[in-house]
Amino acid sequence: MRKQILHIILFSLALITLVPLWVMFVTSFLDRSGPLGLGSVFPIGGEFTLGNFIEVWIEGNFGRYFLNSLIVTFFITAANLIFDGMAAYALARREFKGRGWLIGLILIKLMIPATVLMVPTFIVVKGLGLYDTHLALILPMVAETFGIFLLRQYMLSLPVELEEAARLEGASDWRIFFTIIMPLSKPALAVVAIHSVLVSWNAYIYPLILTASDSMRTLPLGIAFFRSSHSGVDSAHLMAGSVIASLPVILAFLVFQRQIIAGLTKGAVKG
Amino acid sequence: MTYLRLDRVEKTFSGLTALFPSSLEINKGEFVVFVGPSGCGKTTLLRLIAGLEEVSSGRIYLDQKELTWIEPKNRGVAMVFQNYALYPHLTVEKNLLYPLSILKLPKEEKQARVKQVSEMLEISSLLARKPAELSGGQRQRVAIGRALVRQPDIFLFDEPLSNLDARLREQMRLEILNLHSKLKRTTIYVTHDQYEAMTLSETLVVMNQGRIIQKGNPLELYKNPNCLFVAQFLGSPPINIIKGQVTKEGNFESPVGNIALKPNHSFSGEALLGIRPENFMIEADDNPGYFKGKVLFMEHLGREIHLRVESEGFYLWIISKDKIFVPGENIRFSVLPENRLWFSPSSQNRILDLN
Repeated sequence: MRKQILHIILFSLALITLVPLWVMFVTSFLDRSGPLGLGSVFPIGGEFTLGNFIEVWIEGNFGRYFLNSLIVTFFITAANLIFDGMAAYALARREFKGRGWLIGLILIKLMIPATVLMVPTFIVVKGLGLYDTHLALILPMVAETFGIFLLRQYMLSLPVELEEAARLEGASDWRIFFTIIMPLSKPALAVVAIHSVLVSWNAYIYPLILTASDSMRTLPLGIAFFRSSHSGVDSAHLMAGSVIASLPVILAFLVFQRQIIAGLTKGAVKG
Repeated sequence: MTYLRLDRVEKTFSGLTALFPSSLEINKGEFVVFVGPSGCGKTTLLRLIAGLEEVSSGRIYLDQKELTWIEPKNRGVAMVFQNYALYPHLTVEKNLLYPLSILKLPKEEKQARVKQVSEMLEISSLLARKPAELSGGQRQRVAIGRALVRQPDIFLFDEPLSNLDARLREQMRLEILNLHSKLKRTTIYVTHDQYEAMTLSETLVVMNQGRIIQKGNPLELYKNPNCLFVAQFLGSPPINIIKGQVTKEGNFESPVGNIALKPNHSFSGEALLGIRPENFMIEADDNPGYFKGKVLFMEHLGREIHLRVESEGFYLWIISKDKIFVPGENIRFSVLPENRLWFSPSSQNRILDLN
């Protein structure tokens, strides 16, 4: 009985979450535009069309936005995995002067709201002459405190003997890092990857202040500008743009999530 | 001929001394066991030899060449760890190949070595598996295999058998011995298990509280310990210690019984008499100098019988070859002069001129 009540509650919550997605999906295929309302949940009349997508992709320049988002997300995520991993390994295993201070300093960065860093970041990017480039969107994000700490904690749990054995066998630091530490940290790396993909794909404020031209916009910016530039809300086109923006991230999430679960259930860390 | 030489090697960890200056010489091909209770510095000493720790002072030489500041990978040592340290994400074959791929050997040579080692250790059928799919004994074999493929000058074993159950331990012990007699490589083996230490070693190094206490042939150490610690650490059931007085007249008087000693000795005062359980002779008659006691219980092991005997507050282990006693029975027993080990209660060292 209790289980059934729980199921009803969970089902209702799932429904509330899914309805907007459903509306977005359905509306994006409609051959008419109009304000969104209750009728959008089960629209009657109108014809099914892919025209909205084609128009948005070509005329709305969403193709370009999509490419920009892809480039920025790919490089930020790749850089995060490598640099967060390196920093985490150094902080977890290397002995050096001031390590404790460094860890503290990085921790403090967690407590600074991103908003506070907006202006300094803008000034630095502008000063480097990177304003309105892909690098402007990528470089400030290549390492993330969250990733460093998550990976450091995970690496601390790996048996030290593995590294000692590798060192005795003649492996260099680089080899140990790339052939032992990183492969064994896969479950934690998957979490970092998901986080990084979600954050960089959905980023809005930073791309807004660090780019100016239409050809540098990412998808979230594209949607926002599309909405404001087309007076009289064309909800069908807007929803088509939103589907383009949200579908890849939903798919990526599903793929990575499966990996996480695989990584966790394997649990073969102890030799 | 000395192969590995440690010259007053010392290790401190942030002010705490893990190993006091210790010197040691090991011959080529020798099987040396470091034994002692946990925290005695035996693993530290092993790790200093491996290069996993840097010495605080002192020097290490291998084959006349100084090794002290050489990197671990260039020392020609291979180590087997207590928790095996197999790379969990690699198959057994890749685990074995890992050290070889660093050596940049030709492919045929790598394959040949893996084949040879996996046949020697009977793990050929496991090559495609990952460590998580292996039993404890199989993992241990792979760990030894990974040390073997590198063909090192010195093998280091850090408590390799302590994660295995008793029967497997027995079996792996024999295999390690077998391997050593085949390969004749210098081997240093660390354990806290005195039984393992006695059975494996050609040379036994007993350690305690960061110091090397005694080094030598295991049987020699068992028969002739230089201090109470070595006497008590080696042997199971443990050595019996009886506290008493050596009088000026040359008698040893204790609650358990009195012994007449040789007259011409200089020692008098409190003394500890150590007797191995197998060295008691159970007697029927009442003779001077003989001990007496009451049997508390009996452990029948098949080839011998362990008796727990109480005598005036002292609890003794006595090994009887065949005679059976019932609990509560009073017995008399004696010990030959050459089987008496005397120790000073204050310094814990051997007193050699008694008997």
